[in-house]
Amino acid sequence: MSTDSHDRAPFGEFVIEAEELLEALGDRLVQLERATEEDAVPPDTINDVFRSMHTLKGLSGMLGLKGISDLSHSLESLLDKVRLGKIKLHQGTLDVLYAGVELLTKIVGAVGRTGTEEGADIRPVVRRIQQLLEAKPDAHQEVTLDNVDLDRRILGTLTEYEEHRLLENVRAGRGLYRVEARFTFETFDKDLGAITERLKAIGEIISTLPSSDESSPDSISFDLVFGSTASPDAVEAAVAGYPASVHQVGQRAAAPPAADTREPSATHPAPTGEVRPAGSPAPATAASPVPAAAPAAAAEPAADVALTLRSLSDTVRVDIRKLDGLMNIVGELVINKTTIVQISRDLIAQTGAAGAGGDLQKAARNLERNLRQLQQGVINSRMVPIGQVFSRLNRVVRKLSQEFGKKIDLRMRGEETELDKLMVEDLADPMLHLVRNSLDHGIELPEVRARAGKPAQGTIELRAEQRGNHIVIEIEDDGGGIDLARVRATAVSRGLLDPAAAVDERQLLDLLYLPSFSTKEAASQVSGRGVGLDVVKTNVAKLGGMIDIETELGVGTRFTITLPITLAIIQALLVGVGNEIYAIPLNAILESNRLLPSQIFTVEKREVARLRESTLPLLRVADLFGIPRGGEKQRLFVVVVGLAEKRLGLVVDSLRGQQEVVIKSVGSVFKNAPGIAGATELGDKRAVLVLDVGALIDEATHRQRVEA
Amino acid sequence: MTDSDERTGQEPGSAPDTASQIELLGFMISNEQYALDILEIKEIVRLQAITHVPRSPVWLKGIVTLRGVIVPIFDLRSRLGLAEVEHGPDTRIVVVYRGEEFAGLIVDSITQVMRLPVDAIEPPPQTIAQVEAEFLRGVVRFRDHLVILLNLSRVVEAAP
Repeated sequence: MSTDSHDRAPFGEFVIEAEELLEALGDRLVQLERATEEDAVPPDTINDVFRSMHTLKGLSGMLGLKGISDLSHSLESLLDKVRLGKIKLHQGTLDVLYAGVELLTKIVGAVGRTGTEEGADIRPVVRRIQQLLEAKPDAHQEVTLDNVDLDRRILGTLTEYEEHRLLENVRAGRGLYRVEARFTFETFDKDLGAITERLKAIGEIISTLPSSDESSPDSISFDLVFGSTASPDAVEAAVAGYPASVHQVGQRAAAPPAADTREPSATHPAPTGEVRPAGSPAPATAASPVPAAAPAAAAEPAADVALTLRSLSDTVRVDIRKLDGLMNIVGELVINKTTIVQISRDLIAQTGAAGAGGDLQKAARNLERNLRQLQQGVINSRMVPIGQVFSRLNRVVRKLSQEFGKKIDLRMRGEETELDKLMVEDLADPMLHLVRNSLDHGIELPEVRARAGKPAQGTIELRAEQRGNHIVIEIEDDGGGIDLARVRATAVSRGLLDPAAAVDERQLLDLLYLPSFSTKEAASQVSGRGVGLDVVKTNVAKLGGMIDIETELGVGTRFTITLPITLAIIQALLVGVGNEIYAIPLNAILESNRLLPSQIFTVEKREVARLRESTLPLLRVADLFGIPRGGEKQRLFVVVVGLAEKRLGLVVDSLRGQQEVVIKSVGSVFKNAPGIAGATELGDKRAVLVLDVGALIDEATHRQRVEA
Repeated sequence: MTDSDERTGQEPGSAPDTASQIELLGFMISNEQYALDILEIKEIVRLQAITHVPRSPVWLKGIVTLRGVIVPIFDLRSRLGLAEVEHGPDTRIVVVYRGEEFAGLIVDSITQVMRLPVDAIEPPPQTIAQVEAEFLRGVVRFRDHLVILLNLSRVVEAAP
């Protein structure tokens, strides 16, 4: 997202809001799809989808975006029928909904880029929606309101949707209750919210109606019509402590055939689409499938609308640039704090700890504590769940698996894992690439899988997990794995590898990151020709991360991305090399040690160190950066850094302690300065470079390969 | 961006009071007088410790921090292909705008601010003082001296 495009774009605000809505819609559709498989569609989710679509229709209509508003209107009508139970939510319906959301996303994207709905043809999707709407409604409304022993006054005020839900509850054999609650005017919104939450935990609130009871002028009563499988005692318990009374609502067996259908319902929890026994009476008037005359959104006074609105107003949308600004100020405060600590040390050195120096040091410590809280607060406010990226991938996988004729089960774990907002945005492309790779090159066609004795449906699993200061993201498939012999052959044929070279599995896999390396002869239009892993790797490296491949032929492939949680403020170890000082991010450091010259060996022209029974490749920072060594030093230090599975010992002259540093870009002019992640300012106002550990490890392994 | 923008209160390229006038900051490099449009300049600071960035072009001396902002430092002498000299007490860093970022240019000394009509700027000759024409925007005469106006965007361009 470029800095100023939002300011200039005439529909900037709309695009942001619409994208958010559509993203949420996509998530909900996935939930619904899962729920339909388990045959337990939650009405709240359908309502959410319906309302989001309604909002989008309203927003786009206001701005005169006709394509978006027409399409969302059409989708809204479809969703209305779904929530009223007139159209069953099956795969066909979901496909149309997915197609609709996808097209909307595309048009919104076009609006964001060009300010117009250019090239948007909504007719094919609208036609599909029309076909669903015109299809014969499912005839299963055999249970009628006559079966329910509710006050006529209450029944009369139910909306069409509420009636539908009421009957669904009856059909599902749930117990019906009327919860009568009375609250004072001052607190009724809060109390009603609380009681609603408690009831929702054990069942479904079908309707919330203000009661006509006017006996007390400073209080207000409500009738909550409630359906639940919980026992009357459990319902009583849920509202205990609130001024509410629970009444069971009787369910009459009005007509014998209706009783027939209720019988099996009691044993099967949610038989929404059951077939009526032959010879049953036609549905009664109230719930008969009359075509929806009124666009439904108008008739929606339910309490949970109000609740949703309230929870929305708890959240503030903040421009990430404002948070960047705050982060910068926090960063400068950290620098100032370091200066104060330094002054207090100098003072103590001069006048002893009893004087002002000691007081200053105490004050500085307090400042440090508050500052850390402030910092954490700002960092937290930038954090978003990685599920945002996962859910986008979900839609891509759906679409691509159809195009490829492959069956994919996309599983996700750890969607709630949080990451810096900017990193999440920058992760989207690399992850998309990896998932496409798995889909295109990894997962085999169903018939190939069958021959290999695998289930026809392939699995791609996305996992995210926080480990210490890192986020580890894994993308794993149970596809064919990477054929290392073919990687080798391709590398040799392209002159990337000497035919006689002895290379191990890891080195072969590293070849995949070279630009324009592709083992699939017929490069598909999706993965493109070879441009892939090298770009993924560069993007991940830009975020201070590393990528790793593990693969087993015939079994599958796993990509592991390891990232720092945030890029902005880190703990670093300061090291001295010649006259220079460098900062190394602490989260990449495994240990640091004295290094005796006797511990250094040369293996195949490369320096290594023996460190507790293992061999560690060494990289002399002075040599790499062209800093004069100043004679062979007796006193050296090694900082062992590692990301993912790779380890490297950085040889430095001195260790200068840990410090919190704010990483800033060295600026675009240094685009060719490899091994540098950024710069930071120390307490003495000196600029210090922060080493890019991932890049240094790469460079060291690459050198090794070239020299080998 | 940064708080330091606000202090100067002037954006690069904003119109001067009198449209036909231009104000130039003059400085010395290698005994020649050079100049930049004053609107391209953020501030002038004394030389401070520069942190070298390894494996960067020779004319990029490194970085400094200015109130927390990282600024890359160009050695104007070596950028223009002239011999480098030891920095002295008059050496200054001219901090200029470089897109959304800043850049610092090391100059031998600052001379004066010149106010001239815009049409006093003449096109540059092919080479003057052994400086490549691409770095030049023009020349002006000021109090009987030839002043070389630099093409800033070329001077602070990143390495190819």
